Amino acid sequence: MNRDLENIKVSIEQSDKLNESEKETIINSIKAVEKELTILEFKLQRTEKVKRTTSVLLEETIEELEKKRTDVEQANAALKKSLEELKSAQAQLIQTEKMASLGELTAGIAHEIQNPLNFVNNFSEVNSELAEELNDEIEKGNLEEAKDIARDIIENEQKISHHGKRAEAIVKGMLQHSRTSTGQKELTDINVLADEYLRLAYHGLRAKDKSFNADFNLEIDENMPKIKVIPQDIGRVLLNLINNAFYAVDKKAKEGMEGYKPIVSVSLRNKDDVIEIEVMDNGNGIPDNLREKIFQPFFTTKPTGHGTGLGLSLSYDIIKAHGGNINVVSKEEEGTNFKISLIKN
Amino acid sequence: MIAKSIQGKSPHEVSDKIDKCLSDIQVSNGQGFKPTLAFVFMSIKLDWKGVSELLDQKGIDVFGATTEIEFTEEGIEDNGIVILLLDMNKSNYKIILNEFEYSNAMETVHKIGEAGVKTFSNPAFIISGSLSDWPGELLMDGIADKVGHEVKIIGGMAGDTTTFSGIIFTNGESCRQGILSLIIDNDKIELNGVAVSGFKAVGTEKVITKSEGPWILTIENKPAMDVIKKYIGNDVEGTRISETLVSLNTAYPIQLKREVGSPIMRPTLMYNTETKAVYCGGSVKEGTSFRFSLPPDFDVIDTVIDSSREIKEKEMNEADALLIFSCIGRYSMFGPLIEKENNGLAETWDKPMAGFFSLGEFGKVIGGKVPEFHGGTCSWVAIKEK
Repeated sequence: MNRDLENIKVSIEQSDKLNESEKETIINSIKAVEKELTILEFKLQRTEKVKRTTSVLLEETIEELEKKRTDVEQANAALKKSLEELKSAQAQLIQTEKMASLGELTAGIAHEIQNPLNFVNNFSEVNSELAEELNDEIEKGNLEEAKDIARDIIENEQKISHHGKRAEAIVKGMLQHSRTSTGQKELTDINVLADEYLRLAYHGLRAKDKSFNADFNLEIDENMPKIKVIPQDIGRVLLNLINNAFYAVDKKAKEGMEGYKPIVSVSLRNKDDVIEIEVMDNGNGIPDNLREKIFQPFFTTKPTGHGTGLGLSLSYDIIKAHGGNINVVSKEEEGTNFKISLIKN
Repeated sequence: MIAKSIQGKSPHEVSDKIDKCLSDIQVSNGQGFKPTLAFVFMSIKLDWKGVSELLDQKGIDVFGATTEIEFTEEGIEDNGIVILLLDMNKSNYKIILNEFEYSNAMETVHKIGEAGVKTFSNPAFIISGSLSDWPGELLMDGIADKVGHEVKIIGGMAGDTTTFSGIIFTNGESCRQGILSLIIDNDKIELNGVAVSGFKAVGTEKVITKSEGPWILTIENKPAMDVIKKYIGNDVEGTRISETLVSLNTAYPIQLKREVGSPIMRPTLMYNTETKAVYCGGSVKEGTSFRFSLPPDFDVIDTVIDSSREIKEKEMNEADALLIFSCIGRYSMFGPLIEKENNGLAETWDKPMAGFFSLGEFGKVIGGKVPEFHGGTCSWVAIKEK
């Protein structure tokens, strides 16, 4: 008992001025006070203890959180760096894909340029000979003959100019394809674009692989309006789909199935709100379990080194960026049909 | 049902008190109080066998456990004896004692559930156990597997803080490693109660990176005791138990995170000075996250008492008796206030009460549907024979 309370208790017990009942009442009150004091003392000690513990816990937790914050910041910085590196790698891969497709074009373009250059060379040669004949006739004084020859030379020059311009256009187209897209949409004749890339793809593959052989046809729509697209990008998409189609039919042809005639068809249609481009092949088709994956980046069924796996993924992104849609329908052993729809402006 | 609580410092003292109450209490049929069942909570240092035999001779079934500190509505006994006598109809209950086999743990606990459903169509359980590893959750799961997950299970683990184990006993049987179950016909006997904690989680989550049963070896790959001391301070250390073991202040249990449900409390009871591993009241799995706790505010005592008042008001207007299983940690945590908690509960129904400070409690939390194994709680149950 508290010493002072004890003293009071003893005094009360010893007092002869109080009766027993009064003493009992007072002593009971003293005991109650003692109990209350004990409780208060306990509460105070406990509170102090908890305060100390809380203080320690708080300090340690703050330190821990500071350390975690630093760790998170470092992890963030590392992640940012990784992201930058990944973006850079992605850009490089995309460039590789472009270069790969450009490479595929090269042989086709070379073939395409060869034709007008042949005209230029041949007509130039003819004009050389005609110029000599012209000299001869002038010296002989045969003016009428000279005039006829001059007319032929002029005609030939026009043809040289025409085919020269053809070659120029092909080179321009190739340069445009190789350049990074400016993102600027231009009114584009999709019929012309499809025709160009179909022939480029075919001749490119022929140049790469002498054994490659396939039929192709193009069905254009005479009423096709020009639409605003980024021509390099749409051209890239067409090239990718057409190349894939040729690859598929060539692969099937090499399996040696009797009576098989590989064919790739490109058709264009002018619909109400959209224009549609379909690229169809009669290859082996895409298995059901792979169809969902074909638009995923880096997905390819070609052997290593034969494809980046980015072609369809990029094509998908390009079409979507144009507000269009690209879908695939395929049946195993029968063929595949890619359909693009682009909004008319 | 009539109930009477008795407490004393020796078997001789309680024996006299038992005789006195058998003769003093008159029931309406004038035949005197004839108790059938006795809850006996007493110190292991006293003659628990003698007390059990004494009651057995009087035809009273014993649900007994050795404990460190026990109490009735009259107050706390330290290393004494408390007995709660009830004249419950013998057909409404059955006592079984199962020795626990760790090699076949699930089978052991399944036996308890099976015995329950075999005995009554709607069984409830009051249990106590003495197990060195306290697979408390296992007990819950094992019984629930056989009876159903909303089965009522209330109880407390026996033993003292010297050995963290005790003895459970019934008429003619006892063991140091087992589970004592009072299976009750819940259709005839109403049981209502909750387990209340009040500890507040503090600080950030930490992960137990290595553990063995109830021993935590490392926390986030650092020796467990180093981490605990770092965050709780030196106040957490208690007294030396042996050359390598030191007790811990149970006022700072850890709260184990669970995927579903509220955290499970685990008091940290002692640590090994050599390995710095920490011993908890219950098994702890590797990879579990936890937070430290601060002791409850003093007003949690009001929460405990209010929980009983709410049940009295809404579910059980009357009771015949009350049992309390309160974590031993609360005794040191609340000091002289703990009597306020115990007495407050007893005063709700103003009926005889007995209980002890346990090494783990069973019961459902406020708002909970299923019983769980806890540390740091006050788990109480009011009993009424219909």
